[in-house]
Amino acid sequence: MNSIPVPTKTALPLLFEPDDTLEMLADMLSRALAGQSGGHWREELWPMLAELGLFAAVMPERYGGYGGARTAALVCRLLAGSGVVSPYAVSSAAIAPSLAELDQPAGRVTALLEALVEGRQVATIALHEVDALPVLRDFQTVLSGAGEGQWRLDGAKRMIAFAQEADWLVLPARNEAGHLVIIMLDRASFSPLLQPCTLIDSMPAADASFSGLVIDEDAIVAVGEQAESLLRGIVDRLTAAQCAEAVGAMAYMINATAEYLGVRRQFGQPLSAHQALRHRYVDMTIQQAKAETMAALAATAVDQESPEQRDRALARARYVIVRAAWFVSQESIQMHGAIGMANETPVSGYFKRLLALSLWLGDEDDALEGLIA
Amino acid sequence: MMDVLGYPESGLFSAREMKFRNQVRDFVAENLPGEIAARLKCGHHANRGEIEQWTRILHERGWSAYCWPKEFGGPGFTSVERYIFEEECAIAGAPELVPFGLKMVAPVLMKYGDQRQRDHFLPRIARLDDFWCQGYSEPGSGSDLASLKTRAVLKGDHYVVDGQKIWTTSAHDADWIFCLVRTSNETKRQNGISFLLVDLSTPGIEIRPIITLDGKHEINEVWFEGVEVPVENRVGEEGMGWTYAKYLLEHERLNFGGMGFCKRELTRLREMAATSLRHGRPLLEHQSFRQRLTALEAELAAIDLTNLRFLREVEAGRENPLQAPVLKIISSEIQQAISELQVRALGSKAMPFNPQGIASNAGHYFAAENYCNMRKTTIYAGSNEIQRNIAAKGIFG
Ligand SMILES: Cc1cc2nc3c(=O)[nH]c(=O)nc-3n(C[C@H](O)[C@H](O)[C@H](O)COP(=O)(O)OP(=O)(O)OC[C@H]3O[C@@H](n4cnc5c(N)ncnc54)[C@H](O)[C@@H]3O)c2cc1C
Repeated sequence: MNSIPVPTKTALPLLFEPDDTLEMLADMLSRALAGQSGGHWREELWPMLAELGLFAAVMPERYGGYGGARTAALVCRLLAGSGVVSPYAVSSAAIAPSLAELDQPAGRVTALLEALVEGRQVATIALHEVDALPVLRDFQTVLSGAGEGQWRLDGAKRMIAFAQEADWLVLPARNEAGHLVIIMLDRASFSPLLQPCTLIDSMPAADASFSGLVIDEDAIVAVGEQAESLLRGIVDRLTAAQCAEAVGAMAYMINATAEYLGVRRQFGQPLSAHQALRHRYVDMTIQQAKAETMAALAATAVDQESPEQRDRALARARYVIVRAAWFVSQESIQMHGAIGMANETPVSGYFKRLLALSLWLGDEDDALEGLIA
Repeated sequence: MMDVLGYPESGLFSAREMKFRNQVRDFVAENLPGEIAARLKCGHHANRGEIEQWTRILHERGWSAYCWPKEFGGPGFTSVERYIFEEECAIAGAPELVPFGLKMVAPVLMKYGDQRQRDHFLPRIARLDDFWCQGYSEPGSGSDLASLKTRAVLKGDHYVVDGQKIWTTSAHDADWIFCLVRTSNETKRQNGISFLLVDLSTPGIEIRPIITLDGKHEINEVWFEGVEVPVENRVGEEGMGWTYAKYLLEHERLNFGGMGFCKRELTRLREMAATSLRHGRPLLEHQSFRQRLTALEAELAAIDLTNLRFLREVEAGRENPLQAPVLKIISSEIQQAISELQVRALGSKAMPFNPQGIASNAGHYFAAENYCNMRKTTIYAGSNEIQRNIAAKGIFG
């Protein structure tokens, strides 16, 4: 057994430059997560994250932030590695810091930012329409004038993560001139329109149809170029956060597999004595090593790089991490045998989490096409 | 009708076999209830009622025990005819017949059972009066089956059985279970095992559900506490169960094919790819996806035809020990590959899980659910690692 290297559960993401502050944060969060009882995120997890300052930490410095997307990646990795399914990635890692970048934000944005930083409210975004991938341009949801500072919204969105539980919905659409607009709806206006469902990894989500929904001027938070850079900020940060979540879930599966191979005995010896399985286990850790690297690269790129560099880093990260996720999740179940297929066995939950994350992140072919284009 | 994989019209099957194929195809088209076919083609699993209904329809025609020889009440199909029969039924959307009775316990009874057991059980299996399940695996005995611990102690004219079986497919739907039990502690573990037929309504048996990662109830734990099994329900001799089980396992492996099922799922995959949009264009128009799909089709054709080639070789009396493990490995891996590409094709649309209600079920292909479920194919019926060990042993000794 000792010959198989077992990554420890509290290991930091392998960021290229070790950072004492982040390491301390990781330690505190790991300890706090170990004490959680698995209650609803709003009641149990949120107060804990607020106490650790992890809503502010991912924000720009003027909000008391530190480390930007690297901090977000660290939190997302540890949450996913303890089996938590929560809106932290979409709300805190992606939407909050991106909204904070807006010049002259509208009144409701400033109010929301305050609530997000204090962990009082949660926001989500509607990125999916009819397409099988998240849509980033050519939205079919249309905002048109309805006279006197009023607008109407027509279209449909699918699979809005945590829609039933969110306080705010960020909604990209197209105006009559064909420009991107970002709308922010409060709970009262979108919640009656939701058709809820549960996703593979037990995340709650919902579809929503809008037909002539009346919208006030102040719900429009960005138009044109400003809207494009806001959307881009959210999507890129979400990608980096989901990469980190995938790495966390993989780390869990790899640890659990090592442990199982050590304790399960067949033919009078532990499974870890079979060379066929030892090699395949090592192949899992190789995938994980590359995935860790690329998740760190993605997080760094979000904050630092030029748009071109950022696109390339994120697409490469998606490609490497999605492939690793398919591989690690399948191999882990296989090496557990039948017990890996039981819903009660934790690895089966992580298997579905990794499947969901691979689908959110989009197909590896799409990542490659992005790199070729 | 063009073959799903676009094979040539002639050259693969004899004129007699083609005629047989048409006969089966016409029968299935006329007799398979439309509601069943529609449900299965949407990715649902057949329930016990649907399997019963279809078995009875086939029974009327003399085809329910399609894999049995004439002397035991089967139609006496050749192995290629069986392959054709399974393929036509699966492609049309028919439920798979219960393999535990037809393909597992029946061949053992034909070879090792006594006259009374054959006369009583075989006709009941053919009509699905008895739904069977397989009690081999135990918590501590999976790949290493010979280590099994469930005990059967002979007391007068019955055995008393105590212990636990696990991962038992369909036990909750079943009437009977065939079990491997330990009847003595020999130094060579394989020698103390016997093969018992157990009525699941006997007092002392408890069946507990195990929910699998796709959220379904398909497998179970089966607990035995002081369960009395009449000695006449032992198959063959006491202590010889391992020999019978090995015979059965070989049967199970040669039967693994499932090519008709793969072709049905390939058709579904093409449907998914035609309706799924990526950047506003159907996925089928994307070069990268076409390449994946085309590669999968080539792979499936290779596996399907290898299957057929092995059957021809077996028919000609040229069996070789690599056929069974190779067939199990390649068939199970292609089933998984198809289900994986289905999920990839749907992308985020595959994410809602087991949605309830008719409205949200419409257009839901159950691709992610089936992808999860298909993980089993490389684990059960002798895991693929064990198959590779068997193959390697055949080659290197
Ligand atoms: C959905 C499902 C349905 C099933 N239905 C039935 C049923 O109806 N009746 C029944 O009796 N059983 C059933 N089984 C059980 C099945 O037969 C066992 O799962 C199988 O034999 C493997 O045993 P295990 O799960 O205990 O895995 P283990 O034997 O513990 O193996 C775990 C892993 O180690 C690998 N491994 C083990 N030994 C070696 C070795 N020597 N070399 C290399 N690798 C090795 C295995 O391949 C596997 O990947 C079912 C299983 C599943 C998943």
